[in-house]
Amino acid sequence: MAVLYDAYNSTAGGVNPWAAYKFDDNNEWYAMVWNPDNAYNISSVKFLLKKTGDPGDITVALQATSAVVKDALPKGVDLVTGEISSGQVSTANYAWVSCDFSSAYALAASSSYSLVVKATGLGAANYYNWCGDTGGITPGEPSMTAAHMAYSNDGGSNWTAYNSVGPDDIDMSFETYGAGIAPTDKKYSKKWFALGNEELWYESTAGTMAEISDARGTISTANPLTIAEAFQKIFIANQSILKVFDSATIRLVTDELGTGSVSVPARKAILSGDTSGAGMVCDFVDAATGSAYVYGYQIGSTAFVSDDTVVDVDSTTSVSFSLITAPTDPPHYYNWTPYANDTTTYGSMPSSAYIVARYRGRVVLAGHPNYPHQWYMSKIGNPWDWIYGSTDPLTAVAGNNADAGELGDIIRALIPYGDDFLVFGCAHSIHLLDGDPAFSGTIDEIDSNTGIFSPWSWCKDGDGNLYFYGSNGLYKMSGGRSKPVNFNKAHLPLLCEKWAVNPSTHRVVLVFDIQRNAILISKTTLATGANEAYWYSIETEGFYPCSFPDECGVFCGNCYNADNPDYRASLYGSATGYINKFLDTAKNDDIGASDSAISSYVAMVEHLSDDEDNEGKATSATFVLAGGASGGDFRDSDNLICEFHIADDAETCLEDMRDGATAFLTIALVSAGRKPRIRTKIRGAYLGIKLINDVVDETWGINGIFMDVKSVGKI
Amino acid sequence: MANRIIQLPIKGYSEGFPVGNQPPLTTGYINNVFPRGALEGKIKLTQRPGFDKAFSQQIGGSACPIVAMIQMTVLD
Repeated sequence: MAVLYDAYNSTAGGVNPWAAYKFDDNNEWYAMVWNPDNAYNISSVKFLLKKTGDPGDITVALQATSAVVKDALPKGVDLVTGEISSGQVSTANYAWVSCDFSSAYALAASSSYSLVVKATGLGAANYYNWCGDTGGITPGEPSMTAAHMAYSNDGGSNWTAYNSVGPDDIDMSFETYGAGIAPTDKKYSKKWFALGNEELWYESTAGTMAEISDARGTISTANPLTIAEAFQKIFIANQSILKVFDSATIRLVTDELGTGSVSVPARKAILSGDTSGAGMVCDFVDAATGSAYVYGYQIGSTAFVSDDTVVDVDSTTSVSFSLITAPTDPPHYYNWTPYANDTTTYGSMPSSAYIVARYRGRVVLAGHPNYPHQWYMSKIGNPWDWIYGSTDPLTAVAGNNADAGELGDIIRALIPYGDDFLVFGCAHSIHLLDGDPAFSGTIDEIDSNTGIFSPWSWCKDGDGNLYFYGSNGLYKMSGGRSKPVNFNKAHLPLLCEKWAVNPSTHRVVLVFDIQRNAILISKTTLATGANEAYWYSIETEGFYPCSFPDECGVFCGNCYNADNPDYRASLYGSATGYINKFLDTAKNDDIGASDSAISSYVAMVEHLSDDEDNEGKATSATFVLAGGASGGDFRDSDNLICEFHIADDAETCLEDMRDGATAFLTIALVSAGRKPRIRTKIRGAYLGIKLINDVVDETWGINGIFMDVKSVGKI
Repeated sequence: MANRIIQLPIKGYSEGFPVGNQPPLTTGYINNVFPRGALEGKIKLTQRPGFDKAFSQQIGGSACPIVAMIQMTVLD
């Protein structure tokens, strides 16, 4: 329902009552100029009107004006229009008459607008009277700054503002109606970022990935690498290649740093352009002398220009340099070095690292081939400062100069838990850094019996529990802090033996499925994408073997909490360059140019008698497939093949089903709902039921299996 | 009259016990089956959902593995 926003609708308390302003010529246009106090979507207006005779319809046009001043006049461009039919206006009395605009229009607070009123079919005997004050009324004036009437007698070509003191200070009666503008809560956007085939891609617009062309060929994706997000940047650790993808800063170019008395701007210095008046907060400089890029966060919307001389607003510094070209908007891609590449002042980064993470505002590196036990952390809040051992509690810190100490095992994974603690997953042990290593933080060994397989072999669930593939299988650390507990031995006692993974030939990836509250544990052969996997349901605490086409072999994965729910999912990086997700409506696996059928099966072994020496006889079996009646709200199951197997012992029964032995009976279960009862009599000690579907574009679900069984004679 | 309700192995796979003493609601032979139905979200045995492309673009422009992915938050 529309709400009254702005109005001049009462002369109560004023010196004079309403006066009638007549327009009896088609070229006589009136306008009421005003500026709204608040932003809102205007949808209709009302005026106090009366007519004489039978004039034509009135057109009301909302127009912008030149300025919020007493002289503001309509600009001549209709923003939105509405009509008042002649029939709405009384000949007997003045009345408030409503006009609906063709669509709502968003008014900005404190901007000036005009309501232009004009009509057709006007003449000496057919005209309108619009009420306004007679000028000079106080109080009763509209409270809006600079509100006034404007008049044109040439069809809007020229206007006169009635804004002077005294008789020429006229305001027309009006009311505006509309609805508030919904608040904008969104201040940030989520983007996805992926690396493959020596290329970097990012989500340039929602749902679309684009390549960062500057990065092509600069990264060796054949070598180990990990990435971490911090400060609206992606930090890439690719052994000796350390790179930054920067989504937030603008880039200035100069060749004057270090020349004469020109200093390098300090990080966080406020820089300003003398011509443009633009400003930025300096974040990073890639060189101290000569040609340099200066990266910073733009202040406001004014952009630097190529004519700018950029200075530090702190006049005590000697920062003043000219730009070579106009600034470049983000994103940017550049080498990750100490600030201004000045190792004397800002220390040296490790020459090689392939493990990176963010912890307590520090960017953390590990995985140097010559110092595999060593860890390195940048200064808090500053990924460009690596000078260790300063007395500043925010100082950069490394394992060999901190009380926390260097680890005695090879670091394979860095797993941060916010600002609280950091888990070091090592080759044969698990360690935990509590607190800040530069300020009383300590590193304790949590477990010396298991290590972690690789930087990709872990994930966290929605409750913050840590899962990883370690020396003896799968482990869970509750809350990320407690001693690792193996959780596969009961059901998968030979997991490690069967998988026989080797870091040089396999990748083991754990990914938390945020939608299904489960973990995909995948072993992928690096060369081919061939894979084996288990789906671990946190709800049922069960393991569900999976197999995917080689093209879908999982090489990495992560949860994407996208702004748009359509893109929100756990995503999996495949062997063939596609980013995949599990789609509930997908009956096949998308392998790129085509779809691959999903081969699914399940077997049950049922003892048909209560006596191990006796056989039983099943006289009927009923299957209920998912979906209820065909069609309807519930998803319908497609078809299933059902095999019945008989054996004298349970293990033979299962073995027959696994080995593809000929079934005693094979039945096709077609479509959803309860199936016709199977009345074939089946006698044996153990009955095996195997359900199979490997047909493209089919899926299935089952609600229940019911049988009529009785014990009969000896085996 | 049906006097036996077959227990569906809703807890998935287990090979740690003899087949005759299989832990309840588990099976020694299952593949590509999940415990929760697609769309309705009910606990039931169903074929797992298929992999589908989250983005139509092929990272790297050819059939090479994606080696790293991450979410990034940026100011509007």
